[in-house]
Amino acid sequence: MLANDELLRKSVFSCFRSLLDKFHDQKPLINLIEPFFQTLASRNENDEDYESLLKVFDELVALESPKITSFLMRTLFVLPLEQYKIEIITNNAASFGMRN
Amino acid sequence: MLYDQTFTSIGDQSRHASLIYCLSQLSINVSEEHSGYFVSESIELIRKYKDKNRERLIVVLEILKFFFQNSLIDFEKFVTEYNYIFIPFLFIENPEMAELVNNLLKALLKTQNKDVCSLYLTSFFSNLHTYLHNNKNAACYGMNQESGLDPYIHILINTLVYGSQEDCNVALDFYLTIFKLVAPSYIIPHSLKLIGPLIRVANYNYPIEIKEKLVRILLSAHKLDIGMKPFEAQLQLTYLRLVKESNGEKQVFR
Repeated sequence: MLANDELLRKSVFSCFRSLLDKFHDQKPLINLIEPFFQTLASRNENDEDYESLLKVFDELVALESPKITSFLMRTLFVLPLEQYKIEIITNNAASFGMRN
Repeated sequence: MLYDQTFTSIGDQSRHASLIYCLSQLSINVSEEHSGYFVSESIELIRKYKDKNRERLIVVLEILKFFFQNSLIDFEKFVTEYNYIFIPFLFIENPEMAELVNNLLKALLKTQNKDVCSLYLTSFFSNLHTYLHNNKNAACYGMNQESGLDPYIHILINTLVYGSQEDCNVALDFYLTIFKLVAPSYIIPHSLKLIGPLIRVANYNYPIEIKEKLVRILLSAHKLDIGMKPFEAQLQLTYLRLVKESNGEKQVFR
């Protein structure tokens, strides 16, 4: 998901979405997203990988999966509102706004 | 939650700016169904902080201004329901506030729909009139600045020219209010747009009372010296026609 190769990256996300659709619960989402949140919490905007970590969430939202979007909304719109959460929300305002 | 976070971040410039941007982006992407909720929440915050916390008030006004400037939804319900909230801010002696509220009103009252102009103008003017009645001799700082009249010109002209006879009467009263509240130097940039339509409406088949009011407005415009020279020839013809229409009975026409 952090690969530079765009085609590879999109394939991985697409594969993840298909996998997610086979699960009734949200374990795959939790298992995927929590480590990224933990990593982002220890980073700031000057770190080299900060932008690519944020981009993971842009790609997840771009999958247009209601499961993903509603999970992200539940986990992002809570306190404490760390800086990376603000940036994820802002970058995906079009998707979150419509569902809010 | 986001508004609260924005308020508590006022000391931290970077975080504060990112939260304002975040809220602004969300506001213009919220569904039409939920936009009403966003606006009413914002209005409640304006009421809450109006006399208590200038910094938080400005945050809310800035975000609302962005929303009205950039949202694609129809504002009609917001205009008639909430325009009264912004009127008192036009009378606060604070240039930053005046400019902010002017830009907000300019975005809120903008419409390409001629049918809606009358609705907007009559609603806004009714609330302005009430405010002025309850606050006699209040100085309107908001209108007395560069671009101070920008929010109203479009809806005023359209109401005057295309509205009903009743709407035209309201528009004329608004003219009189502008001439009372606003210094000539701030009216002059708009004189071409303001005077031309008055001459046009003088030729409408309206009762003599409306035409009398219209001529009184033109006389005020002459007294205020707001740039009547381009209209001299047309005005002479108009006055002659009105004298003939009234069979010379109306003093004001003579």
